[in-house]
Parts: sequence; structure tokens; C-alpha cells
Amino acid sequence: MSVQIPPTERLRTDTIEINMGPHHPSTHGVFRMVLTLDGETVVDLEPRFGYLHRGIEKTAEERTYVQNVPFTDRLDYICGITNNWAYALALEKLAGIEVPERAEYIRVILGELTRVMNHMLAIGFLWNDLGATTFTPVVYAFRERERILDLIEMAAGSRMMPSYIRAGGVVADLPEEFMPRLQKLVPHLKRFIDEMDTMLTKNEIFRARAVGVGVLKAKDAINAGITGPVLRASGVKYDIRKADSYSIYDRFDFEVPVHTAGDVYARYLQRLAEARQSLRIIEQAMRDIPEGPVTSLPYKQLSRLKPPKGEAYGRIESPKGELGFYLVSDGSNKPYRFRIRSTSLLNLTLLREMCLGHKVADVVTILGSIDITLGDVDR
Amino acid sequence: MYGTGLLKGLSVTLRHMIGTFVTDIRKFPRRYFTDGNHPTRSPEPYLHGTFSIQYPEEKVPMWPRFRGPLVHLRDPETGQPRCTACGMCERACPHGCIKVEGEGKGKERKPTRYEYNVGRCIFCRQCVESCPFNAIELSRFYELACYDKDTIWDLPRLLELGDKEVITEQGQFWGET
Ligand code: SF4
Ligand code: SF4
Repeated sequence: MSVQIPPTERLRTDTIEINMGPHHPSTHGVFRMVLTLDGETVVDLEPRFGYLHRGIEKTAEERTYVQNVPFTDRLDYICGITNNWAYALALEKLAGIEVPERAEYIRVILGELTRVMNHMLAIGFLWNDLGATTFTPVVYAFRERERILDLIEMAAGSRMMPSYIRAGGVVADLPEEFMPRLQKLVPHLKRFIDEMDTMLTKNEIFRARAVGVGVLKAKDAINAGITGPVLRASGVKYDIRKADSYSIYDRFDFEVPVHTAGDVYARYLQRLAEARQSLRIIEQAMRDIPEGPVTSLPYKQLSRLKPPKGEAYGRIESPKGELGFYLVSDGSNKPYRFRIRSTSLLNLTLLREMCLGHKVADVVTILGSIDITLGDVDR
Repeated sequence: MYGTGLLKGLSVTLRHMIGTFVTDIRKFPRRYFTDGNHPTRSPEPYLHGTFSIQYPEEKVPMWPRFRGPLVHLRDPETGQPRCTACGMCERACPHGCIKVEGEGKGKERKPTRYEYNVGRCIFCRQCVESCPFNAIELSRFYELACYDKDTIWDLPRLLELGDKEVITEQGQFWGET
């Protein structure tokens, strides 16, 4: 038998402020959110970061141009190759360095492999964030990532910190074993993406948790400078590979997938579709790759490189969005300014707007769907 | 119907689970009496079946280019270190983990002290690329955990490690760099 309490005598509730992180496993690193909760509902959220700040931008000003290459690996440590690439592009622009044909193809192949790897991991981690019972996708994603990392390790000597792409080309030519393995791996990855699709896309529990959660409007996304799959999932067809084509992307036939809903589910579908397109690019690059030299600037010249006075901004479409390096040269062998336009930091800026009005459990999902790397946020 | 998507997803995991046991039985002798053909490095990627390895017993062979700690190479004729203490590697290292001191002039110059701090090294291989005398290379050792803070390696130790490694020339596996 329930007793009716008159409205005036109802329990008065108060909002509560809690800290999520910096060691919360769902924040993917050391990241803290100050949540103000009304019951289970988020009424305010304030992201706090800086726990992983290593001062890379300042440190880089005291190192020569080539010594900075290993630092770029450590920004977004999931996709080292694309970080190297963005830095190489900026330096090539600054010093006017030509890149041989074969090196461009190698860059595209490894860069797109990195994209597949990053997107599969992002999907895996999103599922991990949804709940412990779905640990399987992240393990499957890690398995395929290991195969891709095997190739990167074979070429570069290190799995996660390749330092492989340098201004003027790549460090060394691909080993002989690389191409046969890649040819076997690409159809395999296709099958794997299809399998992920079968396993996850139609799952009712996932849809209930993801559809309509964390909606990001296209206008807000553009205003906040959000790029990458998060932007495209909100319906903006903007991909630097097409919009400001760099390297040799204009030679390949691929599409930029777009989803319009802008919620967690759309971002998931977006990543799946992009990974498929990346494999298409790899197939074409594998077919067309020419023989020839792989670098126009061997280490001994590169280490003495003194770009002319000036500035340059090199940007690429990294798996997470626009990654740019802004270099200012004063004519010496060290950069005067080394600025990183990191993707994860800018993609994180609208976290509050996406989370307001949702439950605490959804905050974790939304953060997972943005796909940040704390090494990239804090630098 | 509600729930079909869920069941379809579960069928994938079930297939994987069965596949694991099947390959485990099929590959039993090969898997446990290893011939170096480890699942993770096998050139044939397969979708189902075991992928992990049983680490301390089974080990994945490293690729020739794997970047591990620094080793010194010997001159094959005299057995002496090739290093001439020119200090190029010291200047090239982004982290300052190499300290070189030497004595003598020209061809006679020899290192009196060579200290390599493996604890700070990030295995970027820039020291090797900068060495003009073909004297150092990165090895393929990877089990570097130790109980003491014995992270500064001197020249005899680096030479000894170099003897254990099959690398004889700098950049042997890197094509022309
Ligand atoms: S660069 Fe080579 S020769 Fe010169 S000090 Fe270093 S190891 Fe010795
Ligand atoms: S590998 Fe890199 S960090 Fe290590 S000693 Fe050589 S230059 Fe220094």
C-alpha cells in the first residue's frame, strides 16, 4: 500500500558533484571529468586534462628536425605512422623536399592500414565501454591489430613507435616478405570487417544504448572545429584526403562515407564504412606500386637539414581527424616553433554538449565513440 | 524479430570458440613442440582458431629489423671494436643516452669509455644511422626487465651482446640507408 506524499513534503534532492577519472578505466587513459549529477542524469560536465602533458612542443624546439621524428610517434600512440606522416609533410613543405613515387605509395599503404587498425580498435573499445559482457569485440580487434602491427614492425622495426616516415620519403624500402603478406592480409581484413558487422551492427542491446545518444549537430561540430569520423557521422562530407588532397590520394578511387544521425551509432557505422574504403585504397595502391628509390633525403643529409626562414603547415587526415603540424623555421637546424594541431583535443571540446541530459552510463559510451587518445590530447 | 541481431552476433563468437578448440587439437604437436612457425607470425592469416601464444615457453621470433638495445660490432679481422669514439652517435641521440670518451688520433683513436643508458633509450636507431664507421647496430633482444638499476651498459658488455647477435654489418636488413 503506497502512501501519497503531498508535493510540498517530498524529499528535497540536491545535485551531486563527482569525479570520474583520472584513473577510471573507461576514460582510455588519464583523463578526468567533473560530473554534476541530478540522480543519474548529467546536468553539467567539465573535462579536465593535462595529466599526460610531456611538453613535447617545447622539447621539440631544442632538438633538430630529424630528432623530432620519434616524438611524433608518441602523440597518438595508436597510429604512429600517420603522425610521422603529418610531420614529414610539414617539413617537406617548409624545406621544399620532393618525395619519390614509391615512398608515396608506401606511405599510403601503411597509413590506410593504420586507419583500419584504429577504427577497429575504436569499435572494440566502444563495446568495451558499453559493458563488461561484451569484451569480445575488443579482443578480436586486438587480434587483427596484431597482424597489422606485424607488418609495420617488419618494415619499421617497432610496432607502435615506427618513426618510419621521414621528410623525403621513408626510412628504408619494404622488406621482401611484406607484399606477399599484405596481399593475404587485405582479403582477410575484409572478411574480418564483415564479421564485425554481422556480430555487432544489428545487436538490439547495442542499438538501445547507442541510437539517439550523444547527438552532435553538424553546425556545432563545424563551429567547434571537430574533424574526422565524428564530423562525418554528423553529416558533413569533409575529408582532407578529398578536400585538400595531399600525397597521391587523387589517384585512388574511393568514397567518403557520410552518416547523418550524429549519434554514437552513426559514429560506429561511420568507422566501419571508412575501414572498408581504406581497404579499397590499399588494394589499388598494392596494384600500382612502382619500383624505385624510397627516399630523396638520406639520414646524413636530413640530419644537417637547415630549412630556409619561413613557416609551413602540413595536415593530413589521420584516422581520428585533421592532424596538423605547424613549423616555424629561423634558418637554423632546429624548429623555432613546433606546434601540433592535435585531433583528439579538438574533438573533445563538445563533450559537455553531447553528454548533457544523458545518464552517467552514456557518458562513458559517448566518450568511447569520440575515440580520443590521451597522448594526443595532452602532448 | 527482437533478439535476432543478438543471436546472430553470438553465432560469430560461438564459431570462434569452436574454431579455437579445433585448431588447438589439430595443431597440437606443432604448437607445443615449436618449430618457430608461430600463429601470430604465420604468413597465412586465418579467421578462426587460436592466435595467442604461451609466452615463456613459446616465443615469437623477432623480425630482422626489430629495434632492440644497442650493440657494438667487431672488426672481423682483428676482433677489435670498430668504434673510433668520434662522438657522432652521442650528438645524434635525441635523448642523450650515449656518452663517449676516447683517446688517440686518426685511425688509432679508440674509445676509453662508452656508456649507453638503456633505461633512457627509445630505440629510434638514429645513433646507428649517424655512425660513419659501421660500428653499432640495434639488436633483437627484448627481454630487458631486470631486478636492479643496471641500465648503463659499457663497451665490453655491448661487444659481448654484439657477439650473441647475428648482425655483422650495420644496416644489413635495412637495404641501403
Ligand atoms: S658514431 Fe660510431 S664510431 Fe662514432 S662514437 Fe658512435 S659508435 Fe663510435
Ligand atoms: S636508439 Fe635512439 S635513443 Fe637509443 S641510443 Fe640510439 S639514438 Fe639514442
